[in-house]
Amino acid sequence: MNARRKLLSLLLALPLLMTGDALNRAQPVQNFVDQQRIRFQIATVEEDGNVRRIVSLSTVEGPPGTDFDINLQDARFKMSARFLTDLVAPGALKVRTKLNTRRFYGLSPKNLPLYEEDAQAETLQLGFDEGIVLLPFGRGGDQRLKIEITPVLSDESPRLASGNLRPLEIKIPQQSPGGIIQVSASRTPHRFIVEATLLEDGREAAIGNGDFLIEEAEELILQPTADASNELSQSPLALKLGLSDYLRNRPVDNVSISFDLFRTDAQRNRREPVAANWAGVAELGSPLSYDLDDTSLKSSGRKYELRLKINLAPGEQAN
Amino acid sequence: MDCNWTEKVSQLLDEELSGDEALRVEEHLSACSVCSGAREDFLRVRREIKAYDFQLEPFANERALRDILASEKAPFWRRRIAVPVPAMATLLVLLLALGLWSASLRIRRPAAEGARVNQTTEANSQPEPGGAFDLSRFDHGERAAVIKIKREQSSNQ
Repeated sequence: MNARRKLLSLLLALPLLMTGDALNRAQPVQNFVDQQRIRFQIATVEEDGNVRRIVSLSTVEGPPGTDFDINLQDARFKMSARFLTDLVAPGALKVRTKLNTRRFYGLSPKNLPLYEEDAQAETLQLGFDEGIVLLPFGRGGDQRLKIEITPVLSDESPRLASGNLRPLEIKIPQQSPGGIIQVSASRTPHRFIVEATLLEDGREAAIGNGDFLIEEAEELILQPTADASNELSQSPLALKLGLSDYLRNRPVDNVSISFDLFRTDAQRNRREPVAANWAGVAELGSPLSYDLDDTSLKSSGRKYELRLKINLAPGEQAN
Repeated sequence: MDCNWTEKVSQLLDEELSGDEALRVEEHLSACSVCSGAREDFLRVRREIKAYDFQLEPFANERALRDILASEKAPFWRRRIAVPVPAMATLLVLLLALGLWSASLRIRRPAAEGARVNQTTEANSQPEPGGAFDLSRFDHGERAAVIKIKREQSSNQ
């Protein structure tokens, strides 16, 4: 092996070594669907001093990755709480909460309604000896309303006798008075593998692969290949990508994406935006191309194209 | 029978004639039986009128008095009305209640900082449907929260 071949091999191996972190992130992605079902017990409790009164009871049960929503609404207050759950390890849940509240504040001088709105997002790592307490009106006051969410491993078999996965179940042993609390659940794929390729004058100049969770933006560094220009090698591009809605669309499902693209400059420790708030709908398994001619990369005199290919992560099921 | 001096006779009796004219009428009276008869008639009527006892009927008297009083009616701003005490008390209570209600409405509508906002507490002023379960007793304006707990802490959070 001559020196030129050694150098070429080293350059080819370098991106793989550098993307090792992204690949490692994919390691926890395992197929827990067939292992066990998870039941979330949702109890709404009214507390007055030391007196507790159950207002409503519901249970949501499904395979790992089951999401649920809790909506609370009366004439003056509305809360929408979304819980995205993932079993990241046996006995370890990752729960991403998105909490939106809207409170009637008053009337404008023109007699139009005014509202006080709030949005929060939080990620909790949860064991099965732990629970979540949702306090729609905060912690204060003698009279409190609490929504207690307790995850438990279900005794139900994950599959039916037919071999099909057991479907989601929502049970409501005690309905809330006036239907002020509503619980719904759904299950869509959460874990995806994204392959990003940057073409420079038609050649693969940079690549990046990563494991992505739905509704959680991640950043990929597009590692220059041996064919990359010096300019690109010195300033690799970074892709900040988020996957949002999963769209059932047979025969192949779609997922909506949004991303920002930056040119990194390690020496100056700064980033230059190339594309901001770009979006699209990707068909699983098919490349989605973006022409970068109208971006700041145009000044280099080369033609650039970004290709994204999104697939379900191993073990993830579309159905 | 008639005489042209009859009118002068009447004026003489009423002392409306000058001295010369009165002398001439006196001379005429002594010669004219018509005029002297007329003078007697005038004097008799005058005596009868003086002797008449003038009394108005009670009804006519009252009516005349009322007409006089009516002509002297007081202006609107000086008129008076009579109100029974219970009615007046009720009116005062109603006015007081109206005043308190108006004051409470003003207190309920403080202006928010940086914006003019009419805050209301009435649920029926909402544009959204209401529920049977009243959540307002829990609402003290605090921010919603999500917390992780150990199982046994559930009732203590």
